[in-house]
Amino acid sequence: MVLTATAVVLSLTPAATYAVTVGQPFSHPMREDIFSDSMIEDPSADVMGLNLAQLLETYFSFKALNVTIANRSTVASDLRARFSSTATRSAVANEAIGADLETVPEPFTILGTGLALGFGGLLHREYSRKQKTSKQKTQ
Amino acid sequence: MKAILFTPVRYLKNFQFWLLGIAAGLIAIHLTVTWRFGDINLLGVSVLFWLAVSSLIWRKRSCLNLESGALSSLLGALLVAIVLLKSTSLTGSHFIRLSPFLSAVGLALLASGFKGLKQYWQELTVLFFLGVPQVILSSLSIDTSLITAQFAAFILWYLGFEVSRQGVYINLPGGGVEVYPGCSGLENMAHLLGLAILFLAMFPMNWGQKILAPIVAVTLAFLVNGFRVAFMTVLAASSQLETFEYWHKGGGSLVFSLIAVLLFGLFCLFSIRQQEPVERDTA
Repeated sequence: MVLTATAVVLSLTPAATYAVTVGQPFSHPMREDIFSDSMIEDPSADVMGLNLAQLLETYFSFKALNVTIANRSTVASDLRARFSSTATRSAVANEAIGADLETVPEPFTILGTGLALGFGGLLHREYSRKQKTSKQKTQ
Repeated sequence: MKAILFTPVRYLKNFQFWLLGIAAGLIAIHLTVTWRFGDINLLGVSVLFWLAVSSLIWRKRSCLNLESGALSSLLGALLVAIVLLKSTSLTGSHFIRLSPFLSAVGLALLASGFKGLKQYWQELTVLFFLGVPQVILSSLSIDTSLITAQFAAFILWYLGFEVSRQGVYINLPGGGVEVYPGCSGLENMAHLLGLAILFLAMFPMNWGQKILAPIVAVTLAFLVNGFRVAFMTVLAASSQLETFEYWHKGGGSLVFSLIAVLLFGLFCLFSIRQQEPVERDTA
């Protein structure tokens, strides 16, 4: 997950659901404003794919864009084909947004390592105590 | 005055001090390069692992066989030279992760030759798990994002949220998250696996514990990361951007690895208390 890791589900029609990864988490209210009925009813793949990116760019400030499709409608199939390969997706995203994609940071483990060092001392003491007790028992 | 002048010369003739000097130099170079590279996670783990390996070697210093042949010495020197040369021009993080293991193999060959390598199997194993698994996982492009997303969605469903999942996307009514490879938990799993190997090298356990400890480590890391992703999803869905950022990339993100290590530390403590003492392998 990154800053751009929030997916917003836009319910366009009862049959089609678009999950769009955007730069900021938000809940989405603007379906009527963005997509006209004609676009939904006649979704040419090329036009739709390009317009979707452009429209979203207009309405939101993106840092990254991904589109996934949640059903098997014609629109969904076309879009899935368009965005299925990473190369294509990146090209489309970069064309629409600019190459402003943020890298994903790994979670920091430095505090865990510090704690492990502390635990090392504790375990060493416990182990030595156990060894001593065992030796005393055998004598 | 005489003694002060000649003592260093006497040390220089001692083969062991040369080895100690080379080892200290290699460790210092590795830590410096890691620090300069900016990999804080690796730097912390490296300090811990180098301390542990030094302690293991110190423990068995009196019974080490330090006899090496010409071929093994040449190969060892070559490996050390490669590490030194490569350290001057780093192009990626893979070599920083590989160099401790390569340095240790080179130094072991210099010190004890091919036949003496088995004396250092614990130290070599520990240094192998310092960085080599991450390089292998990265090279094979292994990605557990989907499994992590499935587990996080399961947690949310079990807790009563109206959750839906499409691949690596987890959605709640107010929003959702996409589980990227960086958040799949692989880093934490490799981290805890390394700690498990370190624990087994430092504290000899029976065979049951030797098998159980790595499994528990990886499982704990996966579970803690799953809960983390579920928590992030809830924060994203509630549109609390600042809180989301704090727990995702800020100080809050440190807590999750802390929890995983704490749980694994408690497991190690329990293991030591439970089992009968096993003789330390000093050979």
